[in-house]
Amino acid sequence: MIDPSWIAALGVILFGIGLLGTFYHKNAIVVLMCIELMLNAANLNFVAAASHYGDVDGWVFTAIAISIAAAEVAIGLAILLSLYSTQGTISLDGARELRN
Amino acid sequence: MLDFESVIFVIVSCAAIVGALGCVFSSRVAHSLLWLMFTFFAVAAAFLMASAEMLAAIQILVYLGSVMLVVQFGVMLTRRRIQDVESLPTLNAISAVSSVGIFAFILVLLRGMMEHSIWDSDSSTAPTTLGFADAIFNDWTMATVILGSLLAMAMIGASYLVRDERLINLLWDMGVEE
Repeated sequence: MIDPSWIAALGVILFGIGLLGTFYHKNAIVVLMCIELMLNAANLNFVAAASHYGDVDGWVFTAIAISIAAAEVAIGLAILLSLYSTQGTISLDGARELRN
Repeated sequence: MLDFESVIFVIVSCAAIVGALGCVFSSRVAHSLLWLMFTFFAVAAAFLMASAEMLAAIQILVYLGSVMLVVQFGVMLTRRRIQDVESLPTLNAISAVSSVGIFAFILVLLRGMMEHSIWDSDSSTAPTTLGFADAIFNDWTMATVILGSLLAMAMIGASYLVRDERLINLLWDMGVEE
C-alpha cells in the first residue's frame, strides 16, 4: 500500500488549487466546482488518516462528506438558477439583490 | 527506493493536479467541468491505491455520475454569453498576488504536514470494505439515518427553490381550464 503521507500531500495541493479557484473566478458555477475540489481534498486527508491508523471511521466520514457534497450541489445550483431567473446573471459581482 | 506502486501514484497525482489546474484556468465553464471530472477520476484512483475500493466506487458513481450531471445542467440552463464573456477570470494585480500567496501557502502546509510527528509511527494495515459496512450499519447507524433525512430535505428544498410561479402554470397544476 502507498505511504499515507503522500495521499495527504496530494490533498494539500488540491485544496490549495481549489482555494485559488474560489478567489480567481467570478462565475458562481465555477466557484461551486472549486468548492467541490476542496471537499475532495478533505476526503483524501480522511482516507490517508484511515489507512495510517487502520481505523475505518475515516472512510465513514468520507462517505458522509460525499453525501453532504451531493446535497450541497443540488441546493447551490437551485439557488443559482433562482438567482439567474430573477437577476439574469450568475456573476458574483452582478448579484446585488441582498446587498445593503 | 521507488517501487512500481509509487510510480503509479506519482502519475495519478500529476493527473489530479493537472486536472485541477485546468479546472481553475480554463476560460470556458464546460471545459472547467470536464477538467474537474478528470480530477475526480484521478482522486478515485488515489482512493483505490489507499485500498479504499468502496470509496472509489462511491466517488465514481456519486460524483462523476450524478453531481457532475447536475452541474452540467446548471451550465446548460444559464446563457452562453454569461459562460463565455462574463465568467472570464479576473486577471489583475490582486489575483496575481493571491496566486503567489496561495502557492506559498501550499508549500508551508506541505512542509508542516510532511514533517508532522504523526507519520513517525508505522502505518497499520488498511481497513477493509467489510469493516466499512459494519461501521456504517452498526456504529454509525444514527448518522446514516440523519444523513438520509438531510438528503431528502435538500431535494425538497431544491425543488421548492426552482419552482415556477407563473400564473398559467399554477392554473394548469390546479386543473383550471382557461
